[in-house]
Amino acid sequence: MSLGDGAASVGAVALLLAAGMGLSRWLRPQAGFGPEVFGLAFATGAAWLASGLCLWEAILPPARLAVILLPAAAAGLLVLPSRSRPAGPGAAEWLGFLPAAAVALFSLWLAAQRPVWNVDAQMRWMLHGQWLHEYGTALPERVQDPSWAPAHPAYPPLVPAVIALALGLGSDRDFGVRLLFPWFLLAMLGIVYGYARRRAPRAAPWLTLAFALTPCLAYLPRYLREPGAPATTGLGSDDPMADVPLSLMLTATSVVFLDLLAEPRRRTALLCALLGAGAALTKQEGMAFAPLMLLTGLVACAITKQRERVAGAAIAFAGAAGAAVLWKLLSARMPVMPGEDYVGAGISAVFSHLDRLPAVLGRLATEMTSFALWGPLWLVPPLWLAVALVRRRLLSLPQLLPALWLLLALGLIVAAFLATGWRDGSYAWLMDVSLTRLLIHHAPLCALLAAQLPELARAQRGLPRPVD
Amino acid sequence: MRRALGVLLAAWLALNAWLLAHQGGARVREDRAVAGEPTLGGKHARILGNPELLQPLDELLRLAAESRRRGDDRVLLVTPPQFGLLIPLARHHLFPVQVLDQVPGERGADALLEEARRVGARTVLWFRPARGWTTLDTRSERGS
Repeated sequence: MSLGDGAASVGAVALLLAAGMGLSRWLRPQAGFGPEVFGLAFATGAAWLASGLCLWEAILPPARLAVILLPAAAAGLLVLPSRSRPAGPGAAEWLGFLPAAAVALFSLWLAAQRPVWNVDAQMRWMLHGQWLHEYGTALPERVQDPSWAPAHPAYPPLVPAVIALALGLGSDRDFGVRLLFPWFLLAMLGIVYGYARRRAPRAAPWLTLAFALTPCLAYLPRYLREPGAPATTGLGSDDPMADVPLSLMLTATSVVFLDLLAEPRRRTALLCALLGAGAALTKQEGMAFAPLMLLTGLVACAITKQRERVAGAAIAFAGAAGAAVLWKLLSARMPVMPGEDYVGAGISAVFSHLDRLPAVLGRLATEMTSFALWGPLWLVPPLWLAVALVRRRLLSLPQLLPALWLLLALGLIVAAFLATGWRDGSYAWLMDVSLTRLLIHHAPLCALLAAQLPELARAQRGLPRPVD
Repeated sequence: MRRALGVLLAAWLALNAWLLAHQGGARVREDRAVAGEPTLGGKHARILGNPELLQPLDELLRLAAESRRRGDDRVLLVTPPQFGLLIPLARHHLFPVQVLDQVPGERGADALLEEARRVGARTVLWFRPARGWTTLDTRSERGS
């Protein structure tokens, strides 16, 4: 790794951050520059890059500079007069965040030690980033040939766009690109910390640290060697994969949606729509989950007759759903591996394989109770449920939604393993190679639920419920 | 109840810190060893836990650079199934050259060249554990 590779990846991160900050001036003026503002700005910059690229693909001819021009244009908004509120805490917030930030720093060190080594990174995300850099389009005609199907050309473009941005700034295709990915973890932890600070100020630094130290998220590699044909799958935030980025985008979408419920503003709704679009454009799972989670929020607002919030929730849903539909249309000509067309297989594929259900649920339970991978993270939802059942009358919609989203996510994961036709329906093998990564997408919801526990406990002692 | 939650948070932290010390410590030792390998092939061989792959991997990376320099459009990568791990690495390092992979079966050089012509590949990169890499060129019909 050369100094230039490191500089290119720092440049890419800085450009995404500047783009997010520029857009935030208009969408979500914030006081100071605390960890949450950093996290949301980074997520917003990445979501803007992916969404802008999608629109570029739909309207304009391929251009190698697109991945640099898009964030640079948004960063240009920083020169406009600021609408920010008066400067608030920033440095003080970072102090409490330092222990969790140190975990992301550790991940950055790990990323610098290895080349790109795991199968999915080499065969998919890095390859997509390279062809976006080479041809100026995420969907080059060349890869429409069925022989490219193993590279999954229809995968969404956020991670390839970030990789192409670093390559465009001079990074190599190996070490330099790996250095990008721990920033997604840092941003996600910043958002979790910001949410926890609002819910449980005293516990927030330790809660965020405990979550950050989740082994499979922060540092655990994963080696799975198939008999006869060794393969290696990566894990965690130091690998150039889309799992931690999706986790960031879903966390950002969730927290901003909850903000929207607290203060229904049109611009917050637009930010949520952009982040939801970013989540949909990060990974196929995001394409399914981001619109569904926002639809759940929309329906919940409608059922609870919160009319002033319904319009905002509808805007957020439209952003995620619109991005998913646009990418589906753009990538429609790309080849798909046999057995991996989950949408095409339809809901009937789920019901035709219900005999798999006991095995799938058993494997899911084994996974969630694997302390070596997760620590005690998955004990949080049952604990939250127990407290919530006692205090159910005090639960508000913003408290309930993270739990509903988690339930929805687990339901979708189970449905995907019931429906899969991967390698002639080898769902048990597929669970071995992918279940941990699928759960990483939704793990931050456990941290959000954990952050709610002190206020639920406070409510039990007769103290007033915080205003949502 | 808040005190109980505090105890649970402390236990969560302590368990994850213990896991970090054990699993994270092992990862640090492993990655320092990877970083200490002088060549890229050596790093990958160590990650894959098979030092015997050092030379084939270094050679593959050299062949990948050559193929890119030649401006190949497609190569046919032929490896026995137990060396399937070479395929993703080749795809990553050969790009923009497209890698089509096949297992050799009982085929010899002529049959592989014929197959390469059929799929539009100019070069065949053929790995045999006992003999290392052989490069076949569909235009010269000569291996190296």
